[in-house]
Amino acid sequence: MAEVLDNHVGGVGRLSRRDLLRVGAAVAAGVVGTAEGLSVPVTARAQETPKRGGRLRVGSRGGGAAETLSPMRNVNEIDIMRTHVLYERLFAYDLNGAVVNQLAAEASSNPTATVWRIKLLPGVEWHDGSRLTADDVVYSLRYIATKENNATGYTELSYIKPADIRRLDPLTVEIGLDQPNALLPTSIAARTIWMVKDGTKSFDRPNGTGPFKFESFNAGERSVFTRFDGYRKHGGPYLDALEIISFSNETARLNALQTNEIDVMDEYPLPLAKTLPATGQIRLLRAPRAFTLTMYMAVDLPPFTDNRVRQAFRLMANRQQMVNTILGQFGVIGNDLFWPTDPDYASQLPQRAYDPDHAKSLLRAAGKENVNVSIYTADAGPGMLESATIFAEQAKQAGVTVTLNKVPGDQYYTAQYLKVALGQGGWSARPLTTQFAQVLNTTAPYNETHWRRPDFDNLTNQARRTLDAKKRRQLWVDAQTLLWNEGGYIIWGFQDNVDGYWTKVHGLKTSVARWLGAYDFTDVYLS
Amino acid sequence: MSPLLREIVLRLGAGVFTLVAASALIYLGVSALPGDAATAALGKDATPDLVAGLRKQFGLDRPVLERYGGWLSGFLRGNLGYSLPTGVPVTNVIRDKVWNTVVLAGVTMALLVPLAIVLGAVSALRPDGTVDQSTAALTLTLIATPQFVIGAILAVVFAVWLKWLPAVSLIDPSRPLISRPSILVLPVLTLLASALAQSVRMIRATMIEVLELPYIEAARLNGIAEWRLLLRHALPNIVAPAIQVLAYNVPWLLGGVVIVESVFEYRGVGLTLITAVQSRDLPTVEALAMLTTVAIVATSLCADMTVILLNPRLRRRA
Repeated sequence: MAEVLDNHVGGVGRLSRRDLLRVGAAVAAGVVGTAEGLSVPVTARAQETPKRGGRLRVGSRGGGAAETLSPMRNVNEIDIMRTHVLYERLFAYDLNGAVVNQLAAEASSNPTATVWRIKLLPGVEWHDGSRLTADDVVYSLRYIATKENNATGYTELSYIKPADIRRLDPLTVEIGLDQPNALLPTSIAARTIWMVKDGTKSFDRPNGTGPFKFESFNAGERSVFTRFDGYRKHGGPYLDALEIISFSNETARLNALQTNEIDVMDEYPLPLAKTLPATGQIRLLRAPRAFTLTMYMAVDLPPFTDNRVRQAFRLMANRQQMVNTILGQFGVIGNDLFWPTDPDYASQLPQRAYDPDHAKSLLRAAGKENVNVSIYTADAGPGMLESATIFAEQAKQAGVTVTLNKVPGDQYYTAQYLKVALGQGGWSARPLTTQFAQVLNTTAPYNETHWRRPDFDNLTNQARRTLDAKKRRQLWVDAQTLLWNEGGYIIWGFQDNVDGYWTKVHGLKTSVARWLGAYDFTDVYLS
Repeated sequence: MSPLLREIVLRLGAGVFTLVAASALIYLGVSALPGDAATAALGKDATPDLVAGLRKQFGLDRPVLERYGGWLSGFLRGNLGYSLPTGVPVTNVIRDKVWNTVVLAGVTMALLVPLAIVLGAVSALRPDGTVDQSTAALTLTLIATPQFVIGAILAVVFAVWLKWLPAVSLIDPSRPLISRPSILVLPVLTLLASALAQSVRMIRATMIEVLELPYIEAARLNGIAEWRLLLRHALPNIVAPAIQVLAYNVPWLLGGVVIVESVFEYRGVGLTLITAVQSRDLPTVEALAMLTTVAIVATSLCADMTVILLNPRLRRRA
């Protein structure tokens, strides 16, 4: 399971946060932009009218018999891709990661952000021909918020009581919250909160509102989807059929792209992307800074209990060298903070420099000169093993010995993960509020750095309660400053998401949220 | 009870014992691997809550011996159980895959037998002659090259460069396998390359031994033509060893299938086994392992019986 490093799409709530609550303390009623208005097909030739028809073959990394059609339990990336094709969410991310309406038309809250009303788009059709109603949305949200259903989206909705999700009228849903949440649309834009039809118990014959309908599914082999003519968007989808093929061997998948047994592949391997000729039949799609590469220090485990040691470790990482060696032109350095294109990213904090001498003196002051540490690593994600190796080399400059504690790739996120003093991770783009709830709040399920700080929790909880965008930004910046000064993350770089495609494929997009434009094939056509 | 029948019963008993022992070893072995079906199914989503819920749903909260006992009693009653991550009956998961592998292995065997005998016999005719030397060079190279390397080279040459054959052997489940025979060519060639090399070497050695026996010498002195000598007098005497050699190839072939299916994405038993181990899907792993064990025990039994029946001396004693 080396492929899926993370489980949540993310993005930034640029539109939602600014526009949604622009009206401030009055009953906030914000209409956010629509995904269609913002999408930019990047592989379409100008002025060409899209051609209808054809079958697009996408090759992706499969998960064998464990693959599923259930939108409630998506772990393999190939399952996530299928879900994006078949289903939709109330809110989603645009190509830049901003939160936009998908099935919602409008969201508003009371002044304390404890009651939210979500109006649905009228006239949305399910694949079976029926119309989307508030009952469907209530059913889906309750299904996910009910613990016993084991839905992967449960972590996003665990704070909502199923009974507090109600239907107001055929197209309006009301959600009551025990704790105020000014960013509810951002939380439920997560890629695990999909809308299914009221009463759905089995997901074997998918009935969604997405641009393609279900035709067939063979776990670990292939699945086929056909154009949904009732899709509400003008023009697309153009393809007659979309075929998603599972591969278990990466070399075979590359060979298949090279010989055009498949037309498109997600996650094109970086080492090969660096040398791919720019003029050939196979081209690359690039989503800049889509993937965050991290190392984490547990702040409650030696030697990292002393903040001077944490600072020293951050200073002795030569980020530019890591990026140059591992990512080449497909990445940039990081500043120990998540998600630089979030509007509330603390851009005013200075870029941390490479300074082994300063690191040395900090370690001396902490009495930890020539300290020995092992880093937990595996070939479990982009640049992981490589960066651990380079970091161990760089650490010598500061007199620190870093040894590699290497485990098999499919075992990385099991027993030792979340328990080691120094480890590595990777996260795809998601809003700061979601990222913090995932890894940095005291209750975070993936608290890699063991960061349990009441002052930090206060700042983030206050931010989540604050409807005023300006005040809220200040709170987010304060929280990030705390992390920059004392946190346990070494966020050394951001990697582009890269996909490969044949030049005959047009209308593919790139999105920071996920590969292949977050699997949006609505505007894709073949020449 | 005739001695032959007794031999069969004994061998069958040993086969059943092997089967049970193998099933226990595999069950405990896979259980001992770090991670289980619940953590594998959840990946990085594995929060303690979700893992506990899923473990309960999969029945993984019971002790491993109890689970093995449950599986074994089901297996003995002909129930292969349910695939862990999905709950689909294992029979449904593996049915098509078994057929795909039978086709792959069958085509390989059908080419292997005549080719091995012809090449082995021709090489033995003039040991160290040109034919023998070049066959030896080729077969020794192939034996020394790992299968996945042979597969990768064949894919690059015939698919990527020459574009004669597909680089991956994807099977469309909605169409019969035979409708696209071209996808079989590279996997079969890869399997054949190493299997053939081994068999040719062994048949050549046996043939040389036979050709040096006194009765061949006598026949040659009587002026019998060399080709007639080979076909009529020597060949019948290598049938028994040849059957042993080819039977010996079956377990080897089944092992090679795992590698070849992975290299070419051929959806058969081997590829299914790999993903089943990855997802800690014990019922599927067990079913495939039992199937493979049965195939190996059965072929070796059949081969031995055929050898006994073909040899008049052994037959009489039996």
